[in-house]
Amino acid sequence: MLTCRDINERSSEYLDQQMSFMQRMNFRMHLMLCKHCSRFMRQLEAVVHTLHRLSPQQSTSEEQLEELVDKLHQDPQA
Amino acid sequence: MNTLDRDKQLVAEILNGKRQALSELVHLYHTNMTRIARSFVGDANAEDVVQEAWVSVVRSLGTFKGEASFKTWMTRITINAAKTRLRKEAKHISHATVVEDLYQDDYKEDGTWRVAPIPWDDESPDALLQSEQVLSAIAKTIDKLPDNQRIMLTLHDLEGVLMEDVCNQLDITTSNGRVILHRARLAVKAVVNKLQEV
Ligand SMILES: [Zn+2]
Repeated sequence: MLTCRDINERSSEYLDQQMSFMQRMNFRMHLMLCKHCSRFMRQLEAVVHTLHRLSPQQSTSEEQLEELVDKLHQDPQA
Repeated sequence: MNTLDRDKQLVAEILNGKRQALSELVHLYHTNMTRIARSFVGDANAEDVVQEAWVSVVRSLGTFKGEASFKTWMTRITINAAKTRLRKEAKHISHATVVEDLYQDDYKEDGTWRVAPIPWDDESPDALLQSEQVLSAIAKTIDKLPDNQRIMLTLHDLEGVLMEDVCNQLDITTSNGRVILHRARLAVKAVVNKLQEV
């Protein structure tokens, strides 16, 4: 039987689908029976999905980008 | 047209000397590559590193076969440029593993919860993404993570690089990589959780 602590330790593997079928079943069984762990998983999953969707901040100006394009375009070694 | 075909076509046009295609490619990927470089070398040198990566990319564009996606190919080149920069500055990625037990406060001896996790107002990614406060806390937390955790989280969760590729680049085993990723995620989650307490 998995403990709540085991659930935490393996939660990323679960989310990233790195578990065998049986491991997955055991994991799900615990979540069905344990509302604390199912809350923990909901929250971790929300965080991970948020990370997946974070767009990078553009830090380079349009002028810098065009300068770079010019430089690359004129690169004699290219 | 899908991303792969679009990029292949852009590459072909660049090889034919089309500046417009080059500009398009740079606009498509520069920001993501800067985020990747930044996770290795920090703000001050990221732009420089990505510019170096672009020079390598353009010079070896003829060898791009389109078997892997352009993004995957360029990611590798960017990471190599970043690692070269770190080497030049005699810095290295700290692989210090945190020995202290991340979980000890949360669980009792028998592995059950010591204190139940608190509910969040809204446990959906949409809600988190809409909160400026959450986004800024997440960004700050990522910046402060230990090197290997920051790089892992950036590459794997933010940029979608495969775990195997990240581990190859960092020269660590996959199982070690998974632990590093998990710790980084827990650190971010802890910060989001803190915001819910107030
Ligand atoms: Zn539990």
